[in-house]
Amino acid sequence: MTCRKYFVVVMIAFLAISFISAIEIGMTKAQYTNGSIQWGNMQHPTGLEFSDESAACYIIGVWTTRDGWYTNNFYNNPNNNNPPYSTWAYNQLTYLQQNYLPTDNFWVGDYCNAWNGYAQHWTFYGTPNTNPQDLVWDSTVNWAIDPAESQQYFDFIWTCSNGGCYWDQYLNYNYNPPLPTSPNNPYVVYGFRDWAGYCVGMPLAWTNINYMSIDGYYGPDVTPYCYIGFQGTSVGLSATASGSTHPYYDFVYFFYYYFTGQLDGIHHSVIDSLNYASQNIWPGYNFGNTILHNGWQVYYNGVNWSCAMRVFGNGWYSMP
Amino acid sequence: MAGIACLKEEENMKIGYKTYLAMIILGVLAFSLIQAPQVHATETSVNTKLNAFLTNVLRIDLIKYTVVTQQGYSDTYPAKYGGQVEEETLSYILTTADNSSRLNVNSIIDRGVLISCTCRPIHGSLLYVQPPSTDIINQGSRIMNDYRSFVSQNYAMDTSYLQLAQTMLSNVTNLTSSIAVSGNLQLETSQYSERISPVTNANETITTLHWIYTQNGEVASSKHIFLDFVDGQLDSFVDTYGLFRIGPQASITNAEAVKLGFASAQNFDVPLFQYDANGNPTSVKPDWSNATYDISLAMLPGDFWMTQPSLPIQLPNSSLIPQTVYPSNITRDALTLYPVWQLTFYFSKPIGNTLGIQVGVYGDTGQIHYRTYYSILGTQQPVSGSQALSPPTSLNKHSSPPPVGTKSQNSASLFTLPAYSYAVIIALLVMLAIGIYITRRRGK
Repeated sequence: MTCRKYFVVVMIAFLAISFISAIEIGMTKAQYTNGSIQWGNMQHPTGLEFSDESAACYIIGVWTTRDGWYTNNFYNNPNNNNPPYSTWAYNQLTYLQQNYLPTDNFWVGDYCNAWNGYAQHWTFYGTPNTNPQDLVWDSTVNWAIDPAESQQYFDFIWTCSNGGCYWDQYLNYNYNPPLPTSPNNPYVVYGFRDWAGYCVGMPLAWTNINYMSIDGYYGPDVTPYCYIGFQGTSVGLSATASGSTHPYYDFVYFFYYYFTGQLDGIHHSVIDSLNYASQNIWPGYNFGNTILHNGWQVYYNGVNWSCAMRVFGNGWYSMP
Repeated sequence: MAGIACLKEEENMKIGYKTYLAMIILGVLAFSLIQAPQVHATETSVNTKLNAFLTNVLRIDLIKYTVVTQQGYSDTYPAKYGGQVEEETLSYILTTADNSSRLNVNSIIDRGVLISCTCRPIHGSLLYVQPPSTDIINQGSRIMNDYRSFVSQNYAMDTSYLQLAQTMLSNVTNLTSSIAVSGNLQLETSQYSERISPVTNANETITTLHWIYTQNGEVASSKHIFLDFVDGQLDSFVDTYGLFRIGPQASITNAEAVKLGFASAQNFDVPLFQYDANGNPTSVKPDWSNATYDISLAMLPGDFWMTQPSLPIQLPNSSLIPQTVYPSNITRDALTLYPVWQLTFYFSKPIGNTLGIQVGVYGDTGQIHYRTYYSILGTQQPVSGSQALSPPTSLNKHSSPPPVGTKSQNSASLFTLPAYSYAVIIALLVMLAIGIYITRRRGK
C-alpha cells in the first residue's frame, strides 16, 4: 500500500507538473502567434516628415494590434537611447527569433552608409547622430538572426538605399546602378558576407537567405520571405507623389489598410496591397506602372541617383 | 371584482408586451431577410460580371477552376471620388481539381463597371479555353476586341474609344519603346527583359500597352487603358477611361506657373535646420541664389485634396509646420480632371536631407494648391571616423555576451527555457516513478 500510495503521489505530481507546463507553454503560444514591429528614426527628427513617419508607425501598430499580434512601435527611440537603439534592436530581434514569432517589420527613417574596416555596410539611423554604435548595422541585424531561419518574414523598409542590387555575381560594385526596369539593372546581388564574415546589405541581413527573387512583384518566388526597400534614394513620406496630390504617407497608409484586412477582413498579399495602394494614389494604376516601380532620378551630392522601390522574394506573402 | 379586473388588465398588458416583443423579433427577422439577399445580390452581380470578363475577354477556362479561398469583398464610397462612387472590390484564389494551376484574381468595380482586374498564376500556368497568341500585338488586339463586345453587352457606354485603341495597336511595329498619338489617345508601348533570380539567372519579359487620354499636348494619366503581360500572358487590365471627365484646359502658362510657384516656395516658412558635428541644430533659411526646378503639367482629379485644407501641425519640439494643402477657391469635382502644374524647386545646397520645396499650382486659376518639403531619407556620405565596430567583434554570437539587458530582454527571459526542457523533466519524473514502483514491488 505504501508503495502504491507513493506511486500515486508521484504520478499526481507528474500530472500536475505536466498540466502546469502545458498551460504555460500553451499560454506562451496562445498569447502571441505573430509579431509586428515599427522601427526607425531620422537623422534629425523635425518637421512634417517626422510627423508623417510617426503617424505611419502608429496606424500600422493599431491595425496589427487588432489582430492580436505582438506589436511594438519603436519609432524615434522610445527608450531615450538607454540602451542604444542598436542594442534595443538586437535584443528585440533576438527575442522574436528565440520565440519563433513570425514578424512583419516596417522601418521608416534615414539611411547611412558606414565602413566597419572590412567593407562598406548599410545602416539605419537609430538615434539622431552618426555614432557608429547608435546606427543599426546590417551586420548587427543579421547577427541577431543568423544562423537560424529568419522569423522576419515581411520587411517593408522605407529608407534610402536599403533595397538595391548593387553587385554583380562577382561582387563588382556599382553604387548607382541603372534603374531596375528598362534599361535593365544588370546587378543581381542584394547582399553578401564580407571577408570577415559580416553580412553586407539589408535584404540579406533581415531574411538571411541569398536566393530571393529580385523582382518579387512580376516574378515572385516561393520562399516564405518578402522584402521591400529602395534602390538609391527614397522620398520622404511627406513628399507629394508625382502625378498625384497625395503624399507618400498615403501610399503606406493604403498599403497597410489592405494588407492588414481593414477593408474587407482579408489579409491580402503584398502584390495586391501594392496595387491597392497605387490605385488610391494614382487611380487606375497598378504598382507595376507607377513611378515607384519604374523609377526616377534624384540629383544629390553631384550624382544623378537612379532610384526605385524594389520588391524581393515572394510577393504573394500575406499576413498569417 | 376590482381585483379580477385588475388581473385581467395586467394579463392584457402581458399579452401586449409579448405581442410587442414578437413584432420586434419579426421586424428584425424581416429586415435581415430583406438585407441579406440585397448584399448577396450585389456581390453575386459583381461576381457574375467578373466571371464573364475572365471567360469572355481573358478566355480563361473557368470550368476547370473552383474558388478555394474566402472571397474578399468590400463595398465602399471612397473619399478619392468625393463619396460619389460606389466602389466594390472582389478577390479570390482559384484552383484546379488536381491543384496544378492556382490563380489569384483581384478586381475593382466602380459604379458597377469593372475598371481593374489582375489575374496571375500563383502556381502552374493559366488554363485557357484556347491558348492566346504568342504575338503580343495579336493577343492584345483580340483582347480589346472581346472587351469591346463585353462593354457593349454589359454597360450603356460609348465604345468608340476602344475601337480607336484597337486600331492604334494594329499599327504598332515596335513594342520595345514607342509612342503614337491618334485623336485623343496616346499609345505608349514598352517591353523589357529582367532577371528575377540571382541564383538561376531566370528571366521574365514584361510588355505594357498603355493608352492615355491626351488633349492639346496635355496628358490626363488618370483616364486610360492599360494592359501588361508577363512572359506573354496578360497580367493586369485597367480601364478608367469612362470614369473621369476632362475639366478646363490650363490657362496659366509654364512661365507663369514657375513665377507663381517660386514666389510661393520662397515664402514658405518651414522650419529648416543645419546641424553641426555634435548634432546641435541652427535654424537656417534656404539659399535660393542658384535654385533650379523641375516642372510638369498633370491632369488631376478634384478629390478631397483639392477641397479640404490641411491644418498646421505643432510638433513636440514646438516647431510649427504651416498649412501645406490649400482648398480650391472654386468648386472642384472628384471625377473631373483639372490641370495642375507640379513644380520642385531645389535649394542651391541641400539643407540636411531636404533638397527643396514642392509646389502645386492650379493651371486654370493660378492658385497655389500645395507646398511641401522635398526630402530624401538618408545620407550617402561615409560616416567620418566610423572605423569603430558596431557589429560584433566575434562571428559566434553565442560565445559572446549579449548586449546590455533591456526590458525586452527581461521579458524574453520568460521564454528562455526551451520547450524540450519540459519534455526532459517529465521523462525524468516518469522514469523516477517507474523505478521507485519497481523497486518497491521487488522489495515486497
